[in-house]
Amino acid sequence: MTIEYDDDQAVFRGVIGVDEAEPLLAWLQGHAAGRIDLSACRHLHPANLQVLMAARATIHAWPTDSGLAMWLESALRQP
Amino acid sequence: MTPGMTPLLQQFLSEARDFLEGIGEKVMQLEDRPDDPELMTVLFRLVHTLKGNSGLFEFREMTRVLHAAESLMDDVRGGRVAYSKELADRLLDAMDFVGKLCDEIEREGHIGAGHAVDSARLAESLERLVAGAPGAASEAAAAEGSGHAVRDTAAASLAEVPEAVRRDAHRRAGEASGVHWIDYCPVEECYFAGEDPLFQARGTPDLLWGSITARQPWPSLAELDAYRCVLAFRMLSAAPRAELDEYYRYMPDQVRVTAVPAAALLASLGPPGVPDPVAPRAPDALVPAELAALAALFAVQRAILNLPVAPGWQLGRLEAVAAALTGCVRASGDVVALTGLAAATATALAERASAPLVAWLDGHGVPPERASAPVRAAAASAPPGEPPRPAADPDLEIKFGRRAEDQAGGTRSLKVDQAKIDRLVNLIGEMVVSKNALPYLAGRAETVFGVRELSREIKAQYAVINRIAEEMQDAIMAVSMMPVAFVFQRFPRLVRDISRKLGKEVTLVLQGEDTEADKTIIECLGDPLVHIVRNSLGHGIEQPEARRAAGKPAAGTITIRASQAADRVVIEIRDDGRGIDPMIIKRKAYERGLIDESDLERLTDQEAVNLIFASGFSTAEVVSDLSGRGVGMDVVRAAVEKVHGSLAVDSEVGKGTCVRLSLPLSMAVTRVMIVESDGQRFGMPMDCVVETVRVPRCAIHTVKHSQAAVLRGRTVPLKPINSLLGLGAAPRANADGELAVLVVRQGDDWVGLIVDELRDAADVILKPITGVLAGLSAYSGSALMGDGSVLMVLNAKELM
Repeated sequence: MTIEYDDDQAVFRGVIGVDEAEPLLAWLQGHAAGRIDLSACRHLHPANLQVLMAARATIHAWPTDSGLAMWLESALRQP
Repeated sequence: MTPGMTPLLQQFLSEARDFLEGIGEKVMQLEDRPDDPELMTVLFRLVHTLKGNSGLFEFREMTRVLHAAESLMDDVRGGRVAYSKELADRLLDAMDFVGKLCDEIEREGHIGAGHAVDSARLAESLERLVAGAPGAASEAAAAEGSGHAVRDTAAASLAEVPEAVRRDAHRRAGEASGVHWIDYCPVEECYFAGEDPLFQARGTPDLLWGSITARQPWPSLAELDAYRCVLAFRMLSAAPRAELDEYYRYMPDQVRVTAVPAAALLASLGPPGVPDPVAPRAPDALVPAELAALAALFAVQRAILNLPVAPGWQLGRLEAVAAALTGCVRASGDVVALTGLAAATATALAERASAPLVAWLDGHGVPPERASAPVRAAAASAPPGEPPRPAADPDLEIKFGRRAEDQAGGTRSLKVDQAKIDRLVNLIGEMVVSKNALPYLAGRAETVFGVRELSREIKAQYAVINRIAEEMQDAIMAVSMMPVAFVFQRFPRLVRDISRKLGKEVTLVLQGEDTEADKTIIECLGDPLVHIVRNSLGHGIEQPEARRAAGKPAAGTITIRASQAADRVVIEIRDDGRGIDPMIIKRKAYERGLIDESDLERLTDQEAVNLIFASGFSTAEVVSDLSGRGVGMDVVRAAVEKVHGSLAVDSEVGKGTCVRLSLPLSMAVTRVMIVESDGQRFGMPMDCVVETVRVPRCAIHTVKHSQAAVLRGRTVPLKPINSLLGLGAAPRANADGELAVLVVRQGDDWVGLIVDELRDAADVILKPITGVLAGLSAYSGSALMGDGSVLMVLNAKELM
């Protein structure tokens, strides 16, 4: 239940804990255009969310969990 | 007693009231002498102690406010904050709040969730006065306007909520719970406290919609601190206010809940930038189909009102129409119209006429002709624009009734000096004794003065006084009575800690905790009980493996049971451990020189078990910090005997041990048996009297120099009381040649005291012997009798 990093995308799976925020931040600093796949994510700690928001990350796939999707879209959907 | 009300909690509540009273008093005194450092210190100490006490319980709301008050008082005491009237007001408000919480705890056993918000506000209002609070002034200003600010942001943000959600919300707004807007700003350090605000927000009851925004612009990624929470959560929920408060009760300062009027939900459906979205403008916001339906409904109601009606039905019909109209108006969210309608309904019902309602319909009929002058005028009586659940001015909600205005509710306990109670107890004792003089008087009236009539009347009066005095005695005793639970409540913790230390598994069963006894007795009980329980844990209960091997459940059981038997409290401590092995006891006692070789053979098992009470006896193989410190059961025995109690132990090897304590309910009045010998009267405390018998001279056997008789199959040594007390006279027998024998218990031994005559029993107040007579250990005290004579009360133990 963690984030799987690829060359150009990060796949979030299951519940993402608070400890994932630092590596995520580091990865996003190196992969500014990296795509984020949240489809398998069930919950993520808001520290991670802050990182995604600050990085203006491109969300490739929204969570299939509609409740979580509502929250994340409100925070991450680009105007 | 309210469930969940422990004696500890009761004590806390009673003390808290004292503290609150003290704080109020000191604040009042400070008004006159604002610079008195001593008063300040006292005040701080009071608040500080109260806060500390409240921390023992899960009363976050209370502790929070008290903590704020404490820091404030600390600053005042240290001269960092000047004392002011405003400060006193806020402090008193806070204390009133705490008092209110105390009342609630007493009633309900806990604090309702609804207080979290008040608690946060009060604490905040106190904190704002604390010196060096960051931006104290600006915060104050912010808080002043916060009520409005929240409402504005809520309304403005409503526009962000998707239309579908708002329609749903609008539908739900008609329900009793209403719809609430929640602003949740977690503190920046919350991640370090292990909090997950998103999880918290997602769990909001009856969540309709939620969004997350950043509270400040994002820095570049290199400067970003991922673990500093800068998110703000906004939500729309259909849950009732109370439920939301309950859900967010641990973070009341981070959450603002605002009721959303139904109208506002629809109002913001228009294009963004609609002027003043909060003001109810409902009917405009309805879609054309809804408007048509509304108009149709109104038309039908108007038609009904215009129908002829039988006089008896008029009221019912008016109420029905009013209810229908109210429903329509509420659904449309038109709050202003609602107040107007309420006024019109009231008038119509009062006049028993349809006219006011028809007039209202004329005014409101179908938009856009509505909003005519008369309705507005009617509505003006109520403040327009007030949402149904106003987010009232925070200051208003902080105002709790001052204590003085409170209705005297709940039981008030009175704290009384122990000395006053003692005096009462002594006085009632004197009273009991002096009322006992009346039968003597009656006897004298008959025998000396020969007035039988008067004697009878005195006896009748005596019966009345006797009854009242006894009742009074009961009542006074009850004042100083306490449940044994006071002592028992320390055991669960004690047993848990010790059994864990020893690696044993023990279940503690407490029974009869509400058995009551005199305070002095209860207080004397604590240490002996702890010692006995420690012994049971240390020596009685075996290790789990040993227990399993012996075919017993791995977890041992210790049962402490209190019960009342006549005028005594009996406390039993029973364990199902290995029991006491008489052989081991005998050997140990022999090793320690407590018994000699002949005793080794002679002692029965029960006698051997009783050796554990002998002084200097401890069977522990290893001296541990738990039991076996050399102070053994003899200390327990001494402590119990000090309060005229007795102690017995039963044990069966492999099955367990039972220690039984028997204590008097009260020490104030002692019941004694009065005997006469050589022309003197003596008292013997009733708790050591076994029986009184008359033994014929021929039934007394003389063994060597001692006399003995067989009573109920038991050989009882007989001793003439005269020789024990050094009186020269020989025992006198009655006309039938029988000797009066008072059989007394001394530990497990019975001894028969030969006396001249057995008299009756009496309640006396035992006074210790003082002065030159204090050295006479044969007597445990003296008592004044009803006829004015002094009765010497014997000390059975010392006499033998």
